[in-house]
Amino acid sequence: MSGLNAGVAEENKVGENGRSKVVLTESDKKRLFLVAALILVLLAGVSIALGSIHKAPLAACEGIVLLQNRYTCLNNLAISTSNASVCSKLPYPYNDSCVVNVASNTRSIDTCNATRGSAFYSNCVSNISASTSDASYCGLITNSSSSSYCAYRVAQESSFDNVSYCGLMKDAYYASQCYALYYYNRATSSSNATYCTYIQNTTNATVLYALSSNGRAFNYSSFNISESLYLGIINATPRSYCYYKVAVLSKNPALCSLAGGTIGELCTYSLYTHQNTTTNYTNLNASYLCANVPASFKDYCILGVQTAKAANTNNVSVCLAIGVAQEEYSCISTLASRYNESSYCSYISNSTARSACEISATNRTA
Amino acid sequence: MGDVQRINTGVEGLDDLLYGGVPELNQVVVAGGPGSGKTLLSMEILYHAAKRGIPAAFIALEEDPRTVVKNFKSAFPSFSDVDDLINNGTLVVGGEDAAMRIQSTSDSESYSFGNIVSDIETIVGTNNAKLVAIDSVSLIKLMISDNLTYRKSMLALTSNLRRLGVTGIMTAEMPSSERKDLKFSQEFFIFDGILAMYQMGEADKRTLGMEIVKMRGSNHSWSLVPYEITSGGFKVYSIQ
Repeated sequence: MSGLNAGVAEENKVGENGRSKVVLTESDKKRLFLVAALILVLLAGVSIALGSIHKAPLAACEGIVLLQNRYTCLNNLAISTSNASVCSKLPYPYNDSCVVNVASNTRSIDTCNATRGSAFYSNCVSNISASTSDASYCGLITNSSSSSYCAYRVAQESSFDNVSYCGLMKDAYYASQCYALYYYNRATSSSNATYCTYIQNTTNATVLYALSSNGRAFNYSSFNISESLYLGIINATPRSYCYYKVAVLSKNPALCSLAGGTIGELCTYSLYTHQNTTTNYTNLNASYLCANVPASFKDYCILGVQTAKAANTNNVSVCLAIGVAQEEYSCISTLASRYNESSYCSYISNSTARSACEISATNRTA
Repeated sequence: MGDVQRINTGVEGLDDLLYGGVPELNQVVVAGGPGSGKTLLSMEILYHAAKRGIPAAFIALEEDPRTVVKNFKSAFPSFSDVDDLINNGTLVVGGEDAAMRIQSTSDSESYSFGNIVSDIETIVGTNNAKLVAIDSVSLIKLMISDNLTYRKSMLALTSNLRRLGVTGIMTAEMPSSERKDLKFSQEFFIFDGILAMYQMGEADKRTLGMEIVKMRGSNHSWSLVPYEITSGGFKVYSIQ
C-alpha cells in the first residue's frame, strides 16, 4: 500500500475525530528536511556573521599598530558597547580610564571595581555619585579627602541646597566650604541674615573665596570690578561677607553694622553706589564717600563710586576725572558695555585696552 | 552655556575634555607638580593658536625665553615651525627682562608686582595677544611674602588681563602631585578654570593624568584621564 502510494502528492483524509488530516509523502518529507536544513545553515551563518561583526572591531582595534590609536579605538569600543571587559586589553592607566568612561556612561558603580588605581576608582565613584545625586556611594572611597571631594561634587551639583551632603564630608577643607555655601545660599535667597550666624566668623580666606566664586549671589561682571578684588584687600570673615551680601541684596543698611570693619564700610558704600536706585548719582561725591576707608582700599572705592556715577548718569567725563589711567579704562569700558556705545572707547589711549573695550561693547550689542 | 565663545587648545584630546576649548577671557591655571609638563602644555596651546592666526604671547618668568623655545622644539620636533610663528610675530615669547630682574635682585620685592604687570602688558601689546601664558605664577608667590598682598596682586593681574581682552593660561606648582591631596589654596578661587596635572605611577612606572577641576561659564568633562608627552605634542586620552 505504502509503495503504491509513493509519489502521490498528498491525500486528504478524514480522521476519526472528523478533522482533516495532512499526510506527507516520502518526497515531501525529504523536501521539508532539506528546507529545514537550509534554514539551519542560514541561521548558523547569520549567527557566525553577527559574532564576527561583534568581534571584528575588537580585532580591528587590537590590530592597530600605533599604540595611541589602538588605545583610543579600544576605549571608544568599550564605551560604545558598554563593555568594560574590553578595557582589560589596555595597559595601566589607560585601562582604568577606560573603565571610568564606561562606568560613568552606564552609571554602574559596580563597574568602578574594575579599576586598579585608587585615583581612578575615586574619580569613577565621584562621577556616578554626582550624576545620580547619590552621595552615599562616596562612602565606598576609603581615602577621607577623596571621599569628601566626592560628596562635595554631589553638593555642588545640587548648588549646595542640601546640608546633609556636608555631613558626609570628614575632611574639614571641604566640609567648611560646604556648610558655609549652604547657609550663605539660604541667607541670600531668603534675604534672611539669621542664616549667616551659622557661618564661621574667623578669617578663612578659602571659605570666603568659595562663597565669592560659588555662591548664589555672585555677580561676576558687576561694574566690571570683580567683587573678589575687594575681598583680596579687606580682611572679611565668611560670616561678615554673608551679612554684607544680604544687606546689599535686601538694601538693609542695619545689616552693614553686623558685618563690621572694612567690609561694613564697603557694605554701606555699596548700598549707595551699586544697589540703591533712589540715589541721586549726579551728586555722588567719591572723595566724601571714600574719606574713611583704609588707604589701600581708597583707589578701589573711588573707582567704584565714579564708575557707578558714570554708569548711572551715562557721563564719560566722570570716568575721565578719576585720574589713574588704568582705572579710567575700566570705568570707560563699563560705560561702553552698559550703553553698547563703542565710541566711548576712543577716550582710551592704550590701544590694547581700547580694543578690549570695543570688543566688550560690541559683544554686548551682539 | 552653549553660546560661549571658546579658544580651541588644539591639543589632541584636551578640547574634548573642555567640551570645545577654553571660554574666551577665562583666566585658567594649569596646576601640577614638577615634571608634569605644565610649561610645555601651555606653550603648545599657544603654538596651535598662533598657527590658526590668533596672536599669542608666552611670558617666561622662571626661565630664559630662548630656553623655553629650545626645550619646546626639543620635546616636540613636529612643531619646529614655531620659529616661523615667532619670526612673523604671531607668537611672542618674552619675559626675559622680568625673569632677569627677579633673579638678579637680592630683595625680590624691590622689583615690585607692579613692574611685572607692566612688563606683561608690554609683551601683550607687542602683538596685541589674545591668548597669553604666564609661566609661572608660583614665582610671584615667592616674591610676595605677605599672603594678603599676594592675593591682591593675583586679583589685580587676572582683572588686568580680562580688561585687556586676553584669555590667560597660568602655570602653578601644586603642593602635591598626588590626586588624593587635591586641595587648592585660596588664590586658586581667583581663577576661572583649573586644570590639574598629576603623576600617578604604579610602583616604578611613571604615568601622568589630568582633569578639569573647574571651568567657569562652561560644562566640561569630570573624568580623570591619562596623557602622554609625545614628539608630536600632548596626547590626552579623553572620550572622542
